[in-house]
Amino acid sequence: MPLDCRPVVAEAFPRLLAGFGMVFCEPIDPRGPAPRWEPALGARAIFHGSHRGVFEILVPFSVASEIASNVLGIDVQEPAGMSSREAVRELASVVSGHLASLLASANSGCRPSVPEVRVLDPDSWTAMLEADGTQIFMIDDRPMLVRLSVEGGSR
Amino acid sequence: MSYSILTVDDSPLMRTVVARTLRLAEVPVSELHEASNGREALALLHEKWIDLVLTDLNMPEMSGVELVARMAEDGLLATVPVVVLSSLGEESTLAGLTALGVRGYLRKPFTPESLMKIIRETLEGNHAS
Repeated sequence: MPLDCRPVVAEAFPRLLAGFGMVFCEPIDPRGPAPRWEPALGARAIFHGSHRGVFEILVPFSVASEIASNVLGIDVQEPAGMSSREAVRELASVVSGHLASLLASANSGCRPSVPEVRVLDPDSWTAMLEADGTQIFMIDDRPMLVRLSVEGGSR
Repeated sequence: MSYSILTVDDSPLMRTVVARTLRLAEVPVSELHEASNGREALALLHEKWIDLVLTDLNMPEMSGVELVARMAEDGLLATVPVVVLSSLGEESTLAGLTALGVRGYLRKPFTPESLMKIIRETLEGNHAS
């Protein structure tokens, strides 16, 4: 049976996004009006071990390039270029690593895979918006979608 | 004295961040080497003189844990100080890394200041010993 990971994500994600990318976000009610589609990058990591499942984030191009600019200390112009992709991949790696550590039990580890990144189409955006457990975080008026769906463990 | 440092991370972004931090901190670096996984790092360690290894854990092909374990088994490489930079924070993993001789652990995301501090402490501690 899937665990309700929303409280863990709601606590960890804004803190880690700020720490990694110097970008600040606020959660919004997913039952409210759906945020409009924006061209975005998606990253996904698979969880193995004590908890099995998937962690996903969808990041608008403009947020991805902002994170890359902040991390590298240079102005990243290409919204879906290599630096933006790497920023999203590393953000997914950092967040999934922290979430895996929070989920791990005393005797059995939980490990995320190395995240994979891709450019999303509108259908992928809609599918994630409609998926159980998806949380929405706003950076000004730009939405990021975050979802952790795992089974197992004793939480 | 200047140091030869090896950064091991599958993210070129993070390798750039480490290089930039070393420059800003004015750490005396004679050579800065980069590897994108444990296997590449081991090959470099067998070719070059390295004073400090900064490694991620979650990497393709060979993880940081396996890299540290391979170094610990090698009479020469076991003496090279290793600092782990990772988002993973399970106590069992950290205890295992300490048992393998890892000198320091810094959890991602980290600040440039905290990275500078752990590098200085590790290099100065190694030089003093």
